[in-house]
Parts: sequence; C-alpha cells; structure tokens
Amino acid sequence: MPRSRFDLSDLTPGVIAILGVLVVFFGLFLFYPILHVLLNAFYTDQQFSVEFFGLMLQSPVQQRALINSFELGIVTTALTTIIALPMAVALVRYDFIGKGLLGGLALVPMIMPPFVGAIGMKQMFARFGSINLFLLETGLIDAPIDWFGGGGFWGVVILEALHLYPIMYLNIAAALANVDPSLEESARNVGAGGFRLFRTVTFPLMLPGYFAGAIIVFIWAFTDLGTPLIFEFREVVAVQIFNMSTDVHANPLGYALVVFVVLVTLALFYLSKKFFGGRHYEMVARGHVASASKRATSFETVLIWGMLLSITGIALIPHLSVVLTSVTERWFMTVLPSDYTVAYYGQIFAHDLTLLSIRNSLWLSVMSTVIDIVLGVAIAYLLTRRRFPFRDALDAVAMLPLALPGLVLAFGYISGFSGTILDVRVSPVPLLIIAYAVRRLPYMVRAAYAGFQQMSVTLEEASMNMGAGPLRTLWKITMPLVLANVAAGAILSFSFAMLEVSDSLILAIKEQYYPITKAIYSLMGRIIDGPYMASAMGMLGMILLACSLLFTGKVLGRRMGQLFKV
Amino acid sequence: MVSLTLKGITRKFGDVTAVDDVSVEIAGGELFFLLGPSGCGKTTLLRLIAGFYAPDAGSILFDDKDVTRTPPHRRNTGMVFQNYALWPHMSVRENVAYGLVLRKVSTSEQNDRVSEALGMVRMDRYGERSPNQLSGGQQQRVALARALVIRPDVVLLDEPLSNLDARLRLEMRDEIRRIHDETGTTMIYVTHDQKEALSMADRVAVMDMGAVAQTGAPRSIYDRPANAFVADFIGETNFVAGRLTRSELPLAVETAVGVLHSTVEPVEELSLGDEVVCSVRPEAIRVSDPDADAVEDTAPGEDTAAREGENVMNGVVRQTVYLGDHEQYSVRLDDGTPMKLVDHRPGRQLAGPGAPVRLTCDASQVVVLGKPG
Repeated sequence: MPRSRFDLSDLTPGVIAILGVLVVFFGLFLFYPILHVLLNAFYTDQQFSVEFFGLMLQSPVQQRALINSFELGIVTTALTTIIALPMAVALVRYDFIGKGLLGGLALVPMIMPPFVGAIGMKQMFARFGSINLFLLETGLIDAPIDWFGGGGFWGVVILEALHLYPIMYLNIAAALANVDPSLEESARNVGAGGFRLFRTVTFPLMLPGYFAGAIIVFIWAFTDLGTPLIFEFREVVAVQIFNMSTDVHANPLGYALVVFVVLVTLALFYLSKKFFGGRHYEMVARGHVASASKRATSFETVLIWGMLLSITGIALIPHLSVVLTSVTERWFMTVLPSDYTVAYYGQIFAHDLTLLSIRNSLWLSVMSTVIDIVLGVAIAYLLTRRRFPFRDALDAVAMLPLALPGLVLAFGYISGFSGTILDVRVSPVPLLIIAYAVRRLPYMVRAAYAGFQQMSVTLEEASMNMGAGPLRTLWKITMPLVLANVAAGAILSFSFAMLEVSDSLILAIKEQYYPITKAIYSLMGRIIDGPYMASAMGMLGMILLACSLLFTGKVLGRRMGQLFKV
Repeated sequence: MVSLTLKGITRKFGDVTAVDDVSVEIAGGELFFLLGPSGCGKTTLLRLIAGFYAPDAGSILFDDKDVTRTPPHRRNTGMVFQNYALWPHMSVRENVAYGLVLRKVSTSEQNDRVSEALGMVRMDRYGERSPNQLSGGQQQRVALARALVIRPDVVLLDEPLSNLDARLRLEMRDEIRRIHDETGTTMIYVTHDQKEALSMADRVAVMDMGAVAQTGAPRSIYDRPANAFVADFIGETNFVAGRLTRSELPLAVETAVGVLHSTVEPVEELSLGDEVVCSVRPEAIRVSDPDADAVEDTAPGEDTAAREGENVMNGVVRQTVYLGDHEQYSVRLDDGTPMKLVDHRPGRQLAGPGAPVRLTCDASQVVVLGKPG
C-alpha cells in the first residue's frame, strides 16, 4: 500500500493540534534552555566572544576535569564492551539450560543508580573496609590497598561499568539478533566460517547497533554526576558544572562547560550518523527472523554459565554492599558488620528529610509520568498511524533526550527560567516534573511505538468500518491493545524518574523540595547514620526499579533493548 | 439491496495513480468481483468504497446517496479484511456484536442477531473463544459474520481467502457464494485469483494499471476478452501476431504461419491493416498428425481452412507434461511462435517431442485483439 507520502488531507485538525502542543513543549523545555546556554556562553555584553572557552581551557582545574571526564568515558565504554560483547554472543547465539534466568540476571545491575552503589562500595573498599580487613586478617597483604587509586577514578569507572554494561549488552544483543541469519547463512554458503564470518559479516552488520550503545554509555559516564560526587572525585566536568549551577549569574564558566558537553555529544552523534547513518541493517520489520541460535555443547554451557555468573556476581557486589550497609548496626574495623538492625528502614519513614523526599519523589514522578503518557502515546500514534510533514524530525526530537545529559538540561532550566514564574528559587516543582518528563519521554515513546507497530492498522479500520468514529476506535480498540506497552513504558518512566540524579541534585535547591536522590546525597554528609540511612533509601529505590524492569521485560520481551538505543 | 455507482474515480498517491478514472455500476444484490494482478488498484478501489481513502476525483453513490465524502464509520459497509482483523482482546461474540452495540441495538436483539450471524457461518459453537484460539478458516468465518451482522448496504471482501490453504479456499468459495445467495446482499470481492472470480462472480471487473479493462460476466470475459491483457490474465492463452486483412466476420488475419480466421465479434474497434494478435485458448486446439490428411493440403494462400471453419497451423512438439487428468503440449510453430495446448483425455500421447504436428482450431475459438502497446 502506498502510504509513505502525505497529502494535505492527512493533516486533520486533530493532528495539527497535537503537533502544535508538541512544538510548544519541545520548543520551551528542550530547545529554549539549550539555546539559552549557548547564547550566554558565546554572547557577553551583546558581543560574540569565545572568551569563556579560553578561560575554561586555561584553568588547570578545568583542564584536569576535562581530561578526567574523557578518560572516564573512554575507559568505561571500553570496559562495558569487554564485558558485554561475549555476553551478548553467548545469549543470542547459543541455547542452553537456564538461558532465560541468566539473561534476566544480566540486567539486574541496571536497577540501581551507580551513585547508590558507590555508598556501599566505599564501605567495602575503604582503606579499612571489609575487603582490606579480610585480606589483612588472612595475611594476604601487609598494608591496606588503595582500591580506588587515582583519587577515586577507578572506583567511579568500575561502578559505572558495572551499572552500564547491561545497556551495552541490550544494544549489542539487539544488533546481533537483528542480523538476518540468512545473511550469515549465505556467507557460510560461500565458504566463510568461524571468526572470519564474525569479522567480515556479523560484526560489520552489528556495528551501528554497537555504536548506538557505546555512545549512550560514553555520554552517561562522561556526564555522570552522582558517582564522582560520592567518591569525591571532584575534578570532572559534571561536578564542576554542578558547583557552578548554584551561581549561574555570577560565574559564566558554567555555560562554557555545558556548551562543551553539548558539543561533545553532538560530535559523537554526528560521527555515528556520518558513518552509520545510511546503514540501517535492522531487519525487524521483516517479521520473525528465524532463530539463529544453536545448542551449546556441555563444555560451552559450563563456559557460558561461568562467564555470566561471574559477571553478574561481580556486578552485584555494589548492591550487596548497599544491602549490608543498610542493615548495619555497627561496622567498624570488621570484615562484616558486627551488629545488624533494620532500624534504618523504619527511620526513613520517621525522619523528616527522608519521608518528605519520598513523598516529593512520588508526587514528582507521578506527574512527570502522566505527562510522558500523554505526550508519548500521542507521538507514537502520530509516528505509526499518520502521515505528516517533518515526521523524521519529530522522531529525532522525541529521542533527543536519550542522548542529552540530564546535567545540560538542568543547567539550562536554571539559567533559562531564572526570573520567570518557573524560577527554581521560587519552587523547583514544575521544572523538576518537566525535566523528569523530558528525560524519560523516549522510553515512553519507544514502548508505545512498539505497541502501535505490533498492532495491525486494519484492526482500527475494521472498527471504523463497523461504525465507530475515530475517538471511540481509539478508546475501544487501539488503547486496550497497546495498554500493556503503555503501562510498561509508564512504569519504566516512573521508576527512572524516582531515581533521577543529575537534574534532581541541580534543580532541587531547598530541602523541602528534595527528591529521594538529593536526600540520599545530603544524608551522605551526615557522619553517624548517614551512609546507613542512605543505603536503606537506595534499597527502596532498587526494589522499585527491579520490579518495574521485570514487568517491562515481560511485556516488551526482545524489544526491551530498543528502549535503550539512540 | 443497495446498488453502487462509481463515477470517474481517480486516486493518486504522490505521483502514482493507483485508481485512474474508474466508472462501474454494480447492481443491488450482485456478487461483483474486482480482479487484477497486484498493484492494479483493486484494493485501493475497495478502500475508496469503504471510505478509508477519499478520491481525488469522481463520486461514489450507494443507491442515489452520494457517499464520496462520508467518513468510513458512517457508510454502513461490512468489510472482511485480508488478515481478518479480528480484535484479539474481545471474544468471538464480542467481535461480532461490536457493530450492533455501536448501532444501539437492544441487548436481546444483539444476542439473536449475533447467534444468527454465527450460525450462518457455522461458528455458533465458538462464540466464547478468543480469536487467537481459532484456525485461519474459522477466523475468516467470524470476520464474515462480523461484516454481515450489521446488515450492511454492501459487503466488501479484500482477498478474503488469500491466507487460507488450497483446500479450505475451495470450501470457503462455496460458503461465501451460499451466504451471498442466502442474504442477497450486494458484495464486492477483491481478488487476484481468476479461478475464484470465474467460479463465484455474477460479474467481474478486470483491472489493469488502475483502470478497468473489461467488465462482464465470467463467461463473456473468458470467451470474449476485450483486449490482450484480459485474454492473458484470465486463464491461459496463446497469441499469434498478424495483420488484419478482413474486417467483417469472419475476420481474417494474415500471420507468419498462414491466415487465421475468427467468427468472434471483437470488443475493440479494429480496422483493416491493423497490427493484431489472435488469442487461442490451449483447450481449443486439436492436434493431428500432419501426414494423416496431407492430401487435403492445398496450395498456400488458398482459403481451405475458412471453408471448413477451421484454422490450421503447423509446428513441432517441444515438450509434453503428463498430469493424469490432462496432458500439456508445448509446440513451436514453423515461425517460432510458442503454443501451449491441452489434451483433456490423455489416453495416449498424441505426439512425442520432436514430432511434427498439425494444430487445428475452430474459427469460433479465435479472438482477434489489438496488438498490446
């Protein structure tokens, strides 16, 4: 059916109205803040200048921060690749007992923002933490080891890698699964096999998918704020921006740094589009691809189990450490805590700061999720069911927040809306809600998009044919059939909003508006029970995110990976 | 029983003209077929009738009512989709009842009519099932019941049998024909399967590149195709190219293998000297041994065949395929033109590969058509 072109009759008033709302929303809350930062970075006293960039590059602190952030990004990306590639090959290309279980376990590390893990890890790997004490007691070492050498650099890298490898894995696995087996079969047919097959056919075909994952991981590590803060690894771009966000009006250096981050992000996407833009090898649309997996021999099964269990095991150390910390009564100079308690879980709900923050987070996340549902379903509906001009542009804009660091958005909000009714110094609530909504919109769009796509248009046409108008068709046929997908996207959006770090830290200035993540961060500053309560809070978040990921995975199945792709 | 009138319907998608100035009259209660190869515009035309597209030009009338700009949900058509389009979140009964609920039919009448419709398609025992639990053929029947239960002005069927296996397809042909005869509803049926059209239709419109090439009863389309496309698309045929040398009946066409005569009035307008093709169906050709009546062969150019009402062509057998109930022969005429023919009682092989044969066919079996562009 020739449906690719649009003509004017497709532009119904309804479509125009939705497009209008979207243009206003994205214009105001996505493009305006970024433009505002750009203008402020380049225009001082009505004049174009690159002065701040000069300042930025001259300052030894900023130089160090830039280098550190790049190193963080590169090393983290490399590490996640090393972890994720063999995992993806094993899970996509082999059938073995317990595949479903191990595949699910592999995703578990995603359930916690790395900065929460950092709290527990600091306890375990501190100079006189569990690990060093254990090694000292067993006589393996004589002096404590500085695990996070380089002022915490490796601590940050390890936590980020352990948190982000599932995203890399999902992208590589999706790319691998989308390589049409018949292409590999035809390569085998002409005599290519084994590693040669992988190098010449499979790898080039999955490369675009790999880069999509790699870019997300790099940007995430490059701009992560929470983990370096906890490790007090302060000489990174994210922390510098965070520090400067409190005085946007006095210190213009923050603008320059944000612009720099935006430029790095743009450059990466430009490069990936330039090299892979025209090469979309995904064959999902072809319908079911014949299974390309083969039965693993028992030796291979043992190898795969060993590999996957040790990866997951290591990745769970931060989680375990958080669990342990959260139930610790006393833990001083011993390998494991000497006394246990669940008191901190009770205290969370008694303590003003924590209780308020839980309430704040719930309220903010619910609101942002509602916005995401409305906008996400509308966008997915337009993209799958309507023909209209600039369709690709809408698609790209809706996905943009995936690539846009939360840091940049938050900084833009602070500076762009200062002095307006949305000024965060008045109340950060509206902008927090909108920031969460913008940041998590791509998940909602993707999930709903998948639902609409799975659903044949003829089901809606049949309804109209039976006499149902467009609205009734939407309500009786379309919505029930995409409900599971919308729910999955909504729950994911909600949970990620609950654990949103960078925009929460930057936007929520007054304590009465603190969301959970900012409360955890501020608890860390309290000497006595801070880490324990922070860990208990972290646990709550983990449980929440774990449940929602499980649910989402059930609904979306193999499409799960598409949620985390650019 | 609603009649349909399509007047000068044109629909473009970008630069592609999917439906090009189509005018068709469909009588009330007719089982009308839109037949053509994929991409000929038949499904687009059906969707224009359903209201899923609006035409760029032309008008659509149900009886005397102009529905050209009426949205699909106000047209009261019942469509059966190629993929059935049953709603997976509703039971079979709910699927069928949907249109009645929208029409605010009372609950008791709903029940009666749903049962009646399901009974008509012989699915009354499956009402509580979910569509996913049904086979393709059963889903097809439910889709049909859903379209019928609203007592639509016209039932639209979009390649309804294309997803079924061959045996089921034959069964459903009879079913649909039976249901049509029982309900007397006007039905428009889109297919690319000429056998479906020939065996079921009251009338057929053969479509080619967005336009209607010919409209008529199956027999007249098969026996008197309007042009070479129709002759070729409906059934199998052989074409022998030539020049028209006599434009009154019986027509005479001078070809490289001799003069062929036709007693069939052509649909197209042809004039003396036109480049034409003679269409001869494989089953209309008889095979005989060239030596058997060689005595009767007269000098070339003399009009022996016409006198006897019979055309004669000579050739050599290239290949034979024995298929039990019939045997196919591929013959190459003396000038190289390939001919297919069929022997429906292949008790013995008429001639083996390499054997010279004499082909004869009655002048009433030759249709003279304009040479295709």
